Amino acid sequence: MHSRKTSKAIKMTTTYVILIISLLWTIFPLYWMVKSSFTIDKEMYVARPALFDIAFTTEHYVDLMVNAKFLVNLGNSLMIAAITTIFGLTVSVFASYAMTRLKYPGRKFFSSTVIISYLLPTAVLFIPMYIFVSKLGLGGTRWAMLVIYPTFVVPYCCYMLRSYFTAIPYALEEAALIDGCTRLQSLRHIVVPIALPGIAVTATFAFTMSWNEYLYAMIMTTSMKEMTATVAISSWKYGDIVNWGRIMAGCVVASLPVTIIYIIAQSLLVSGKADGSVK
Amino acid sequence: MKRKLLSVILAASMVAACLAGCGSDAGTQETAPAESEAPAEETGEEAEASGTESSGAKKLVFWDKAEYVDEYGSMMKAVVDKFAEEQGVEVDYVNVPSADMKQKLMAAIEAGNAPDLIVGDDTLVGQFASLNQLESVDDIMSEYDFTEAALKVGLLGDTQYMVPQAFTAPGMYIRADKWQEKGLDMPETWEELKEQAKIVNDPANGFYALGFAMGASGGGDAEGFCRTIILDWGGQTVDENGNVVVNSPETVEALTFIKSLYDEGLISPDAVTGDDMWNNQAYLAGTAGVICNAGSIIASMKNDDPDLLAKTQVIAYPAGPKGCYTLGGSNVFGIIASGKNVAEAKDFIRFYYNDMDNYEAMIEVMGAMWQPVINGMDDSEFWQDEMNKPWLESSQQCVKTYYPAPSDDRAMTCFSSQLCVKAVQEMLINGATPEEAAEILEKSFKEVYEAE
Amino acid sequence: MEKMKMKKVESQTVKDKRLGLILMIPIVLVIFIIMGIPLIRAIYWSFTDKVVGSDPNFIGLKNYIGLFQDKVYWKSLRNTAIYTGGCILAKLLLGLLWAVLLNQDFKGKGFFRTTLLIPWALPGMVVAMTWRWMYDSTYGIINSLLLGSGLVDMPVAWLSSPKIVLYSAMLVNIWRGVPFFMFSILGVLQTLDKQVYEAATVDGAGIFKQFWYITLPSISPVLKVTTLLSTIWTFNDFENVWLVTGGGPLYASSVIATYTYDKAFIQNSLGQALSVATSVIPILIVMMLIFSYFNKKEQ
Repeated sequence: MHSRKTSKAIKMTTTYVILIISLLWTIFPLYWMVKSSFTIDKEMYVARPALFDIAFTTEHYVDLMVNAKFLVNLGNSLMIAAITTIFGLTVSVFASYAMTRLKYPGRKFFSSTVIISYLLPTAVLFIPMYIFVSKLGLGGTRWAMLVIYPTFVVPYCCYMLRSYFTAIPYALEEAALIDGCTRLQSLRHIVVPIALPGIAVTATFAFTMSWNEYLYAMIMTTSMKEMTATVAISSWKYGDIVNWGRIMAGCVVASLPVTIIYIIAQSLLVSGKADGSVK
Repeated sequence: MKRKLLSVILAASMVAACLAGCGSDAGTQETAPAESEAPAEETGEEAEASGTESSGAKKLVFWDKAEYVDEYGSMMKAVVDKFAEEQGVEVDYVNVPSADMKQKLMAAIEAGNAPDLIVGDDTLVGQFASLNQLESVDDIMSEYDFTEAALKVGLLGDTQYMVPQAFTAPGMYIRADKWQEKGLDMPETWEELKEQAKIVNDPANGFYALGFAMGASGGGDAEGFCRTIILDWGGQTVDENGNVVVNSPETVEALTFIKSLYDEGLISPDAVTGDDMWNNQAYLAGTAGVICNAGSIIASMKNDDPDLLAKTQVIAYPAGPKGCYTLGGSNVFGIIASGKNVAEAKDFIRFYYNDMDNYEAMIEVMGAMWQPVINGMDDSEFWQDEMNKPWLESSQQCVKTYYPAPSDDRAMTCFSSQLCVKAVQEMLINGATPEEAAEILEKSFKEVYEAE
Repeated sequence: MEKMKMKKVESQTVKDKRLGLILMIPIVLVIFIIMGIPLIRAIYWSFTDKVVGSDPNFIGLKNYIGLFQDKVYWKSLRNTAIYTGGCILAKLLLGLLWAVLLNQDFKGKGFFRTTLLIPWALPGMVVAMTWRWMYDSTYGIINSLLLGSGLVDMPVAWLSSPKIVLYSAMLVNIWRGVPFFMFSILGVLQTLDKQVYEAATVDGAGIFKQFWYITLPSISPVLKVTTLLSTIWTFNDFENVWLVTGGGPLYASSVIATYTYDKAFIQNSLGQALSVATSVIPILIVMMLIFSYFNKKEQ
C-alpha cells in the first residue's frame, strides 16, 4: 500500500517537472511577442534586450486600431474562416460518413483522391489557382478565399472525421438500421452525437487553418480592405522599414480569437464524456 | 461571442444533419453550388471579355507602392480623386506592400486582370518591361522637363518604358559620435573606412563598425554594395556591349576587400542573412556604425529615435582605388500593355506632372528619401538645407544599378538574382577564394547573357 | 421471410449506392474542379518554358533534366527530407508524451492543457515573425539570454550559419506543431475507459506495459492520421522556412517549397518552378501508398 503511494508521488513529480519545462518552452515566445507589442519602438532595437524590464506603451495598439484599421481585416478573417468552416464541416460530415459506412462505386477512388489532393504543395497551385478564381470574377477580393479554402479544409476534415467515424462500432448503427432508421437518420442520431467531441476538434482546426492561412490570401488580395488579418500584418513591412511594434501588436490581436476558440473547444473536449455509448 | 460562434458552427452542421435525416434532400442541396459554379467556370472567359466592352464606364486600376510615410498615400489619393473627378474616369487606387508587389503583379498579369498603372522601384518594374509587359512611354518622356539622369532610368534599348517618379539615391550613414570619440575624420576612401572601422569596432559590446548586409533573399542593398566595390576597384560585371567581363584581376581585388571586412570581424556574422531591413534595424539598434542605404531610414529615425538622428551624419560614398561610383535606384510609373486603359493611365501620369507644385510637395513630404526627377527644383529651400543637399547631389551623380551593362532584361535579371551577393556568400559561407568567387561570378553571368 | 429480408438488404445496398454518390458531389466540386483545373495547368506548365505574361512553349522534359543537374535542387530535396523527418519525429514523441501526461488526473491539468495548446492556435506567419525576432544575433532575446547566463561566449549565428540554420527553422515548426499531436491524441485518450487501466493496474501491469498494450493500439488510427497530415504539412511547409530563414544563407536551408518560390518569383521562371514542385508529387504519393498499405494490413 505504502509503495503504491510513493510510486504515485514519483509519477506526479515527474509529470509536473516535464510539464513545467514544456510550459516554459511554450510560453516564452508568447511572452516575448506580447512584451514586444507593449514596448516603445526605441527599446525594441537594443542589443541585448532585457528579459523583464519594459518601457511600457499601448501606442502600438492604438496605432493598430486607428491608423491601420485592423478591425476590417479581422472582420474579413472571421467571415472567411466561419463560412469556410461551416461549409467544409457540413460537406465533410456527409462525405466521411459515406466513405466509412456506405458501399458505392468509386468509393476507393474518392477516398484516395481526397488524400492525394491534399498532398499537393501550395507553392505549385497558387498561381493557377489565382487564374481560376479570376475567371470566376473573384480575383483580388476576399470572396476568392471562400472558393479556395475549401480545397484544403474539406480534405482535412474528411481525414479527421473518417478516423473518428471509423472508431464508432458499426454494431450500434446496425441496430438502428434494423429498427428502420434511414442512413441519414442514423448519421444524425447515432454517429454525429458520438463523434461530437471529434467534430468539435475538427471544426476548431478547420477554423484555425482558414484564419491562419497566409500564402493564398497574400496573392489573392491587393487592397487593404480586402486583406485578411495575417496578410495585413505582413504588409506593414515597407520596403526596408519594418513597423515591428505594430506587427507584434497585430500578431497578438490576430492570435486572440483562435486562442479563445481553442480554449472553448477544449472545454467541449473535456465535457465530451457524452461518448459513453462508444463502450 | 466566440462560444456563440462555435455553437453556431456546430449548430449549422447539426441543422444540416437534421435536414439530411428528413430525407436525402440535403444531398441535392449540396449540388446547388455545383450547378451554379460549374457553368460560371466555363463561361468565365466570355463573361470577362464581354464585361469590359459592355460596361462603358472606364475604370483605371492603379497599384501604388505603399510607403512608410503616411502622408504620401493621402496626397496621392487626393491626386487620384481630383483626376477621377475632372476626367470622369473611375479610379481604383490600391496601396500594395512593396515586398509582395512582384508576386501579385505576376499572378494578376497571368490571370488577365493586371492593373493599368503601377508604381514601384525601377528594378522591379523593369523586370516587367523585360517580360514585354510594359507600354512604351516615349511620348510622356518628351513632354516634361526630366533631368538628364531621369531620362536614362526607363530607357531599354531605344524605347522609354518607365516614367521616373523620384530618385531614391543611397547615402552612407555614419555614427558621427563614435567616429568623433576616437578623433577620426569622415572617410573618403573605402580603405580609409576600413582602417577607421578597426578602431571603432567593439563586437564584445555588440557594436560592429560596419553594417553591410549580404543576404540573398531579395532586396537591392547588398547587391548594390558589391557592385559599387567592384566598380570602384576598376572591375566591371558586364561591359557596355553586353560582354561578361567580370572575371578580372580588378574584380578579384574587390572581392578580396569585401571578404576582408567580414573576415576581420568588422561586420556582424548575421550579415549573410541580412536583407534590406537588416541594415536598417542594425543601425537603429545601434549595433552597426556605418550602413549604405536609401533615405528611408531617416524617416523612421525622425519618428522613433531623434537622438540617433542627431548622432548620424550622411556622407557621400567613399572612393576606391580606381573610381567612385554611386549606384542609385528610383521609383517609377509603369503602364501595363495588356491593361484595358492604357490611354487613361498615360493621362493620369500627365495629370500628375501637370501640377508641379504638388509634385514638389510630394517629394518633400518624403523627407530626403526621394529626390526630384524634374529640372528646376534644386534651388528650393528644402534642397538647399544642409541635411538634404547631399541626397540631391547623390541622386545627380548616380549611375544605374547595373552600370555599365546595356539596359535590358539580362541586366535586370542579373541584378535581381543577386549574383554578386551569391558569389560573396560562396566566400563567406563555403570558404571559396576570391579567385574562385570571380569564376563563379563569371559562370553565373554567362548563364544569363549567353542563354539565347 | 428469408426472402423478404434479402430484398430489404438489397434495396438498402441500392440506396446506399445512390446516397454515397450524392454525398460525393461536393467533394467532386471542391477537388476535381476547383483544385483539378489549376493542377492540370500547373503540371502542363512544368513541361514548358513558361514565364509570366508570355505563352508557354512545350519543351518536353527539359525542365526536369535541368533539375537533375541542379545542385541546389538536390540540396533542397535533402533538406526537405531532414526537415520533414526530424520535425515529425520530434512532434510525435513530444505530443505523445504531453497527451499521456495530461490524461492523468492532477491539479492544474486544465491550465497546462490550455496553455500548451496555444502555439497551434497562432498563425504560422505570426510564429515565424516572432521567432525570427528572437533568433536575431544582435538584438534577439535568445542570444541575449545565452550570453547573459554565460553558456556561450559569442552570439550563436542561428540564422546565418549554414550548419545550424535548417535546425533553427525546424525548431520553430516543432514548437508550433507539437500541440496538434497532443490535442489529437488526447481527444482519443479521453474516450478510453479508465476501468481498463484500473483493471490492468490491479493485474500488475506497469505504466509502460499499459501504454504498449492498451493505449497505443487504441490511439493508433488517430496517430496515423495525425502523422500523415502533419507529414504533408511539414513537407510542403513554405511559410515557416521562408519567413524564418528565406531558404538561406546560400540555399543552406532551402526546401522544395521555398526553392519553388525562389525559382518562380526571384528567378522569374515559372515553368522551372512548377517542375520543381511537380517533381516531388511522386514522392508524396509513394509516402501515401506506404501509409495506406500499413493501414490495410492492420484492418
